[in-house]
Amino acid sequence: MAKKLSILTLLFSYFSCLGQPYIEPFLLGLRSSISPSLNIYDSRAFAYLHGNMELYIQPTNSVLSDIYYYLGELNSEVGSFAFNHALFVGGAYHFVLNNNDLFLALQSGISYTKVNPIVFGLSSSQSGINPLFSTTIGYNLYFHKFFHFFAHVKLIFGEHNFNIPIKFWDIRLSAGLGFNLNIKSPKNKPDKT
Amino acid sequence: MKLQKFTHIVSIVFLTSLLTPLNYAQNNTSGYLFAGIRSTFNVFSSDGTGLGSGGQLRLQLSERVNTEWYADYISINVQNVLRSIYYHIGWSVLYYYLNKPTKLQPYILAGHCFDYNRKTVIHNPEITRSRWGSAVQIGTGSHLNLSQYTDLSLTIQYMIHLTKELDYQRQNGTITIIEHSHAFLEGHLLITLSINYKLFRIWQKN
Repeated sequence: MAKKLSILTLLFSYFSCLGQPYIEPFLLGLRSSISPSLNIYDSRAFAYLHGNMELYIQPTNSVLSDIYYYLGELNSEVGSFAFNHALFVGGAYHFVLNNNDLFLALQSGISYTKVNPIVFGLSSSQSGINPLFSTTIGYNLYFHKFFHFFAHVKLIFGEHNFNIPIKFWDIRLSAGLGFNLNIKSPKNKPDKT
Repeated sequence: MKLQKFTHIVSIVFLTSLLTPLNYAQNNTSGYLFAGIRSTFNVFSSDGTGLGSGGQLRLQLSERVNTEWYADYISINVQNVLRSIYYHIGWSVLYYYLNKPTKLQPYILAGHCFDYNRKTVIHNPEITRSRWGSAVQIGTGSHLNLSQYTDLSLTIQYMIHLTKELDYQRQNGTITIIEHSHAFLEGHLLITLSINYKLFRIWQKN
C-alpha cells in the first residue's frame, strides 16, 4: 500500500513538473476536509469540519483564511465543549518549484466556544469569543488546471476563559483534494516581482 | 570553526540583503491604503500575559510618515481568577528613519487609543465590572517587505492607560472587583505581528 502511494506521489510530482505552471497571481484555492486535532497541553483530541480559502496575490504571497466547525471530541464519549468553532485570516509565504508549493503561514483568529456544563459539574455555561494565533506549514501539489493535492499542519495558540480556563495548544491536520481556479484573465495580472 | 565562519558569512549576506534598497519602485509611496490582520501578545502587565486578535488599516501620508488605524480584542487570564478583556481602537503615526525603503523597513511610532476593559470572575461570571478609558502608546518596529504588495510587520510598544484601573481583592473567600482610587502610569507591553496587503492608492503625488 505504502509502495503504491509513493509511486502515485512520484507520478503526480512528475506530471506537475511537465505541465504548465498553475501557481500564478489571482489563483484561488478552495479546500475542505475533516481535520483531527490534538491539544498538546492536555492531550484532548477533537475533530473539525475544515474549510480553507486562499488567494495568491503573487506566486510567493497569498491571503489565507480557514474556518473550523467543531464536530466533537475523539477520545471521550461526552465532549468537554458544547461547541468550539474557529475562524482564521492571515497570509502565507510560498516556496514554489514548478507546481510544487511549500508554504509557511501566520494567521490571527478567533474561536467561539462554550464548555459542556455536565462535564465540569456546572449548572450552565457561558459562550464567548477567544483570540487565537496560528502558524501553518503546508504543501500543495498543483497537477491540473482545477485540482491540487494538499497537506497542512496548523499549530494554534489561545485560551478559553469562560467558566473554566482551557488552554488551546492545538495541532490540526488537514489533507485531501483541493479545487483551484484563476479568477483573473492573464492580461490583467500584475507583475510577478 | 569552518561552520561558524560560514554561519557568520551567511548572516552578513542575509542582513545586507535585507537593508539593500528595494529593486521595485517604492520611492513614491504616499497615498497608498493597506489592510492587515494582526495578533497582539500582551506581556509585562499587572494582569499577566494574554493574546489578542484584530485588524488595521494603514494610510501612508509621505515617504517617511505612515499612519495606522487599528482595532484589537485582547483576552487575559488573570491568575485563573479573572478574565480581563480589552477592546482597543486607536491610531499610531509611524516614522521611517532610513533614507530609502529597504526590505527591512524600521520605524518608530507613537499614538493614542480608546480602550474598554471588562473584568469578570471566571468561575462566577455574575461578578463583573467594566471601565472606559484612554491610552497613549509609543514603540518601535519594522516592516519586512515581502513584495511590493505585502509586508509582515513586528511592532513592540508600551501602552500607558490614562485611567483608573480595575483589580480584584479576595476577602473571606469572596472575590470582589474594585476600581483604584486614582489613575497611575501603568499599562502593558504589546508585541504585535501583522500581515498587510496593499489595496489601492487614494491620491497620487504630482
